[in-house]
Amino acid sequence: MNNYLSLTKVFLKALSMSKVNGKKKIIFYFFLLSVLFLIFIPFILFCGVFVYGMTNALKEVGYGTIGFELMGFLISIFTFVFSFNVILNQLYFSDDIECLLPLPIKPVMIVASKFTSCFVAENIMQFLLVLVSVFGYSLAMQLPLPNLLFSLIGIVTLPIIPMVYCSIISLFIMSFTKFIKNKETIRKIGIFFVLLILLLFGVGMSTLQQFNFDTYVESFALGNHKFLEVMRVIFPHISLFVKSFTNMDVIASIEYVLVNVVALGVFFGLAHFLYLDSVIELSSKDTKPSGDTLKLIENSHSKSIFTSYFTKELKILFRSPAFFINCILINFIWPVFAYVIYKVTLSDYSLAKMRILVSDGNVKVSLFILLTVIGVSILLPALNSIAASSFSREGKHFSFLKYIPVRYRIQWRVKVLVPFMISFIGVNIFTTIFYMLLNIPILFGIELYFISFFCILLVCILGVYVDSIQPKLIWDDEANSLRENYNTFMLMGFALLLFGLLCGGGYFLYTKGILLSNIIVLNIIILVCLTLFIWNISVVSIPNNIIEQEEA
Amino acid sequence: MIEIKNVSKTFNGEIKAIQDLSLTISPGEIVGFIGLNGAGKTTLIKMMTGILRPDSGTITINGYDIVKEGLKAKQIIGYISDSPDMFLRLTGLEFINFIADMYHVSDDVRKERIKYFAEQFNLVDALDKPMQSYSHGTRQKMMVIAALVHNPEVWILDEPLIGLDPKSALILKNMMKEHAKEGNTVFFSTHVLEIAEKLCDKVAIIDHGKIVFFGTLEDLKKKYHKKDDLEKLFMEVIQDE
Repeated sequence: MNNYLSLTKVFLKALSMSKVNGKKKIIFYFFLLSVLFLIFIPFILFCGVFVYGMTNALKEVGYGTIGFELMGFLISIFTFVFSFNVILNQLYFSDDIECLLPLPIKPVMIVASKFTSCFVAENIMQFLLVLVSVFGYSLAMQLPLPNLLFSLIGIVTLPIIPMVYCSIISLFIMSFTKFIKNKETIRKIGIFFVLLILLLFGVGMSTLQQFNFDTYVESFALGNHKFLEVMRVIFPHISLFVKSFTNMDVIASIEYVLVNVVALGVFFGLAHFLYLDSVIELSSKDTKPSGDTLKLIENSHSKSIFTSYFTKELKILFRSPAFFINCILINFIWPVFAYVIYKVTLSDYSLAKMRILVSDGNVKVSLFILLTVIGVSILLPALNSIAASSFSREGKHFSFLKYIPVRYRIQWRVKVLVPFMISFIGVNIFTTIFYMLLNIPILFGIELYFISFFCILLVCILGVYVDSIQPKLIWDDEANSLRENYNTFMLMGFALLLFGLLCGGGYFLYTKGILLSNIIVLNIIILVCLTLFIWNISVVSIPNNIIEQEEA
Repeated sequence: MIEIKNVSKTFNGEIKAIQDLSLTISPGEIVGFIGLNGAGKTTLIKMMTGILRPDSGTITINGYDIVKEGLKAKQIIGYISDSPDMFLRLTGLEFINFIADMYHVSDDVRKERIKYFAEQFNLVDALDKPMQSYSHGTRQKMMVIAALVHNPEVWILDEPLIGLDPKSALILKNMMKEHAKEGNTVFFSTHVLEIAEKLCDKVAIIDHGKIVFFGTLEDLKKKYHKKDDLEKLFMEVIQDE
């Protein structure tokens, strides 16, 4: 038990951010964190309101628990998708494995500690979401305070089951791919698995032909529970959790605890038999036969510092599975999520119908396209974390930036260009197809590219600037430079703020009768001014921040 | 030539890592830098290479102030850091070409030097593989090549021989001798006193952020009136302080 606690403490410590030095920096950093917190509050509250609304609407027809269950399933699916890569990395690919295996500790203890540290580190957001959902549900059902006491265990432990699933799948993948000795190949299998899940998710959602929240209540009343029935089998703990605190049901509470204990028991049992064998066989040795290296040396050519630095950054992003899956992949799979949102909110508008509306010069549709492009162009460069981890990714070799004879201004500009280029391509490959499908007028198309350009540039400069203040340099696995890196959350917060300002503001102006062309011009002016403002701050501050960042 | 004048460095306003330290390393000299763990070796090396800024004092490399004329000074430094696990996703050749680009090494020079070093260190077959797959020693050899690919005048090496096999260590030691013989400067830290004793023209001993001895081994023996080896003399110097 002592080993378990000590290891868990160490793993959690490794995930935390390093201390901020300097009074000014501390104040500024806490200001940023406070802003971030304030920005996320509406999103968290929205989940509570959603559960409250659904519970209120459905309790009359005897389905009061549906809203909460639905939220519970969504949280569980979210946890499962986003935890898989984290768990696989932590259990098998973190650099500390080689130091841990020779220690006189049972392998299952290592697994349990790593699982616990991942659980604690990964679930702060989920914890808040479950909490507000419980409040939303309790308010709608008018549950008394003692019922809330019954919910405490569930609030803290709800993501255990989806994370156990991730762990068990990781164990099986690693055990049944033992014959593949190369770590990198197995990491690629992990990426493939995540892609497969996302693809299935997309295909699943595409079957919801007439999915609409307005008709959702009606469909439940008519007895359409297919989705829920499947989810209840996959995540049985959610229903038990609701039952336990709705009725203060002791039996349901015990069953909830038992389900979690059994799941953990199965996982640890499997880990006891499978983990050591699967982890011990791994190595980074490349088995590829060597090519004609002398010829390769002869083909070496010099490049400009800028090009060479830029190429290096791209190679690292694309070759590291952790960076590839977290930073690159999202730029090319975001249409899956966009498609799901389209299905959920706009399934009444078919592509053909939209094309007719565009050719008729329908302002509402043009505004919708404008706001969508702004939204994607702002959120994607924040979501892909490339800009907000540009210095963090250097890790303990941050000092490299300082001893090479390259101006800091060149280095940070490359670090802006990399996320800008990837995000711009990611956004505009798909929007271009979209424009072509809808026969968007050329001038409007150019305006959209222009706006997209400045949205992405602004977010990228902001991300690099934020990461230069306090990069997360201490990590033992590439994935950890992104996980628990507050800078990525902070940039997301700012992006949401900008998204609200431009999209909300744009829609507000439209409702006040302002012409679309004027809204576009206003957006461009705001974006150019903000970009110039952040650029000017960055020109002075980022080199200073690099100089002041003394130790990794 | 490296000139360090009255350099001090404090961390978090409390820990005095380097205290009013002065040192001049002349052209043609190999200087071994020795001291206990935490004595300030790496801090001083980091200040010499521009990674850290001194709180006070100046450091010049062949006449260029590392703070005021950082780019010119860095251009003539070849630096090996204390950890070789850098840019492991690149192949060895990609890494060296990248470093060569940073130092503006021309095509012909880089081809010649990469080939020369790769053959010397027996790395030809490893160059097209990701550095992730290298052993610690091979990574260290790659760091040596990367540090020397631009033929720097001043070598500043932090524990350069750690992880190298005996043959590669011997090659690097011979390179250091050759480089100094050509009128250049070699400054390296080490914990292996035997190497410092055999290789260096002078040794600098640092303790609690201060240079407690700088000179030849003969000077050290004269100072302590002993004929012991460097190991025993080093212990005596440290205890004296």
